[in-house]
Amino acid sequence: MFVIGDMMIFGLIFVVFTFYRGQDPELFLAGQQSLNNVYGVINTLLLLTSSWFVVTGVHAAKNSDGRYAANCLSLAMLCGVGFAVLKFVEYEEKLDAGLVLTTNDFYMFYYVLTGLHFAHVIIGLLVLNWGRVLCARGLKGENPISALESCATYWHMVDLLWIFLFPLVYLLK
Amino acid sequence: MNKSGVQQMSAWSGMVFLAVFFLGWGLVAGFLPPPSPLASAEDIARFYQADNSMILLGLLMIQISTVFFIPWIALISEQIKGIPNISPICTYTQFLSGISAMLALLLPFYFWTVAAFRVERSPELVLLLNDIAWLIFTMTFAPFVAQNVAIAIAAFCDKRQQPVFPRWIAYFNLWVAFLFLPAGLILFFKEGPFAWNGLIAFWVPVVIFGIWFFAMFYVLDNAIKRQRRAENSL
Repeated sequence: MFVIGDMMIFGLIFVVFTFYRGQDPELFLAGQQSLNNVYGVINTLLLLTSSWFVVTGVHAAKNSDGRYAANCLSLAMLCGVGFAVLKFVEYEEKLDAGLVLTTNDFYMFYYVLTGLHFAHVIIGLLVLNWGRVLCARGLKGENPISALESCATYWHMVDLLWIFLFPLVYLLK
Repeated sequence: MNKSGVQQMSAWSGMVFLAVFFLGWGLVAGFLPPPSPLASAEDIARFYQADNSMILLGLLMIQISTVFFIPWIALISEQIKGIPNISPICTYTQFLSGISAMLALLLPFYFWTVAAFRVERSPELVLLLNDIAWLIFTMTFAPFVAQNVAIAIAAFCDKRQQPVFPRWIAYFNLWVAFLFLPAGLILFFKEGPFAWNGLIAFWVPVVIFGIWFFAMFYVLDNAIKRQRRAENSL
């Protein structure tokens, strides 16, 4: 329920973004040209790979292989950290070029959408870590698989949001 | 009066707060929709001059409404406290947040009142007072977010058969907390969806604030009735 609610917030901002873009297509196109699609593609691959690791980890946990599951989650987290580092680099480039939140409407949405997503990535890393520890400690407790699946779901949501965000902001002309 | 009677009244008190606040702030004082951050000093001064007595009346209603906010907050704290093995930190966090939230309602009230108190004041000064009031009112997401998260955590910690806060309200509180966050962007913008009159930074939090009251009232009312039945059967 929480995941759906969270996605609704993003959905709302996506819709508003699309509305604003309709009002000023040239501005948004120009802004889009300044974005680094290579970083975007690498980030997409990182998140997809990390989701794959999460799926593998959950599968291992269901087979009671806590150690293997924990390792999968560690790798997933590594991908997530990679995403974060690249995001920092991307932001630094933009900021060095003097492009900030208040530069114009396009950059407002760029920073708000990617920033909000980035915050979710950070939270997702914490959630994944919690899952990782759960696996490493032998999946104890009331319903460890269910808890682990909740962690996985959150991370998949983070991935899914990026899958929408990247084409919408970086690619769609 | 017995304990559950007081709790029942506190729950209703919350709804009274909501009604009086929105009537006073929104309808009587005419603060809904908010004035644009881009409005000129003259426009703002004129706003306070035009319907001055209604604005003052609406403001009085805002202050009256905050009286009813207090027992509502206390009720939530009491119910959190009643959760077996709950950390007092949860209770304190919610309680503290509730108090801070009230400040977020009272402080703007003071500045709106000063703005409306002397209509001959220089427009530049009225603009300043208006800015202060609206920025405090719309930007202050912190106590609300903290309160919602505290309630969610308390709900997750409730391992009873019939928890006072069921799972769905925990997730709902987290969702509400999230929806308040965009208000933080208000300080960057004077127009657009993230300004103090914007869709995402203002309207969404305001509407969700109202919905939160209804949802929490439903949950609290059920819990109080259950607790009263349990008391009576003893």
